[in-house]
Amino acid sequence: MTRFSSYVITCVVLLFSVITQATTVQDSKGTFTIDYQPKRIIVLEFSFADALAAVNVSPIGIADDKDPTRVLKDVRDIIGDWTSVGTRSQPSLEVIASLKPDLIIADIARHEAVYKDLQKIAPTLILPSRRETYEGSLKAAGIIGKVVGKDSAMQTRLQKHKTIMMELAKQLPHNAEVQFGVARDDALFLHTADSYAGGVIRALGLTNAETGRDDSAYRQTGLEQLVAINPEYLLIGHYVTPSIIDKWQNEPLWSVLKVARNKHLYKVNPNVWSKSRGIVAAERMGQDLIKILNAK
Amino acid sequence: MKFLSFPYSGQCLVLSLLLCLVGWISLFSWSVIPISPHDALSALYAMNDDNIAHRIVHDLRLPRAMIGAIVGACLAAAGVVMQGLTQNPLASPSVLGINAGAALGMAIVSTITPWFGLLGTSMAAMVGGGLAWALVMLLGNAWKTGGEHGRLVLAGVAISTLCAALTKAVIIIEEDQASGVLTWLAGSLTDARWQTLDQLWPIALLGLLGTLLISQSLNLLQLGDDNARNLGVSLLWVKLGGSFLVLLLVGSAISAVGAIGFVGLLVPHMARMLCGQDHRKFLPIAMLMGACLVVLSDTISRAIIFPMETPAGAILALIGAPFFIYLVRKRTL
Repeated sequence: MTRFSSYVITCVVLLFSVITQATTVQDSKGTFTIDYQPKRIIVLEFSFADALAAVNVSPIGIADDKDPTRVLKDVRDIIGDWTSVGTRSQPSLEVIASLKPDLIIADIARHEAVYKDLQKIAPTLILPSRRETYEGSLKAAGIIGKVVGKDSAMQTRLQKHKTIMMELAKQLPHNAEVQFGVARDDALFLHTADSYAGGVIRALGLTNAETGRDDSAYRQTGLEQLVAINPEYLLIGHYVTPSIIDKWQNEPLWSVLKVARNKHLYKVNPNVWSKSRGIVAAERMGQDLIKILNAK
Repeated sequence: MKFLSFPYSGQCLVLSLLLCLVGWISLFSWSVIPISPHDALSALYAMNDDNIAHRIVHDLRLPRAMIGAIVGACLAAAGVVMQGLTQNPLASPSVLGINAGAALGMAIVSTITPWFGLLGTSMAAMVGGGLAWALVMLLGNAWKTGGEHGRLVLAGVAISTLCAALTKAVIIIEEDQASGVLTWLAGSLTDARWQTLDQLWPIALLGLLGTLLISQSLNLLQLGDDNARNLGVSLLWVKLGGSFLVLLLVGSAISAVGAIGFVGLLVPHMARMLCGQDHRKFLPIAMLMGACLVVLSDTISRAIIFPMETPAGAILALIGAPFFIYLVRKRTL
């Protein structure tokens, strides 16, 4: 019996040592375990590239919509060159497989349908990105830090981010009401308090405009509803020019808006404000706001 | 159904009054900025530039209601003409592929070839819709006498599906520019303004008057192609002219507000229930009914998830689909 129990103990100890080497995190599909430090990482959203850049890790492939400039310059400078694996909505599984990754980071909102296919290529960490809040995005960055074996570096970076955001907030007027939206050819989508941009605005000590029902991150808004929301500052990322905002500005009703009377309509880079949703992006947004709100 | 037994002029009058009422309600109902029913009227004759409620009524809601009415009338008239020409009760812009073809035309112009955009998206919608319809007519043997009804509808469904698949492919390739196409596919009056109305009404008026002119020939077509020919109808000209009118009506309507379905299918049947088979009579009734239906749907579309808007096209499908089933069950088709 003693012999048997010693076997059991040995086995348990061995098993335990294996587990301690492996990293286990909770992703959007449950438990994700990895027992090596990934070297060939492919990310399918910009926010994950941002998180890797925060701890000086370079992905070998990014779903960059075939437009490298959509990755922020600050991020590009850190991570260097990569191979495009197609669009975020339809990444090419063939290109992903040909790069022989040892970790894929995917977005639960966009890539849940191909999760199983991705897993066949490489271990796939699936986290929220699209429609995720600012806090959720930072949490995802923390998880990525653990999985790529840079937990302490990521925690330090997140702490530094907090300090940077607090310092940025000090330079901003307290409680100014700021609303961000993206404008397309025929539609305006406001990013509400539940969106990433809404969260960054609050983290900087500013307030979100009251957009009514809180159930979605991006809300399509007509001119009539915009008149009712009537924000103090309106920041627009134009996906196309001329966008619907340029059309609305020629309409008489536009002039009743506070942003029209006080000339508080500003253009911002939608790649920073809407597509990136990362640590670096939040800091860039803070700098943008300082430029905008302090320009009297 | 006392209304059914009204004399024809009475029916027209009641429907016109109903249209005015529905239009008036759409001017003030479900607004985030409070607008009183009185504001809605006074904005029409005593506009106060500083009053936000007046501005909303005048700049947004009035053109919106008028465009809704015109679009409804156009689509209903187009449905009547298509059903008359093909002698097929299921003929309508959405069933016979015009909507899908127009959507494909718009999608191609607004995504893959922006330089081609010189043509403008409305032109693209018309060209796409026209090509799709021509294909459907060819495949469905609609030009020959005694063609099967089912074949035309099947051709319409096939071409619609093909166009929808290609539209999806275009959207996947150029995701960024695609949201415009998606908004357009749903069909919404949100961005209907005075400029839209200025572009819409001349063509629409021309098309509507044209349909009234050919209504006599459509009556004769009901007797069958041979009889119509013996009675002196030039089949080729009526069919070509009718097709042209349909394209004019559908193209102008859907390039203004997007792909709104079901009006062209439902309203002709409703109008026929009301005043019989004489095209000269039920065409104006169908126009009025179509106008009421679209304005009403637009009003409801604002109410469903107030203060946000749902596309009016979705509301029409919601009203239209059960009614369509009811029609089929009643065997009025």
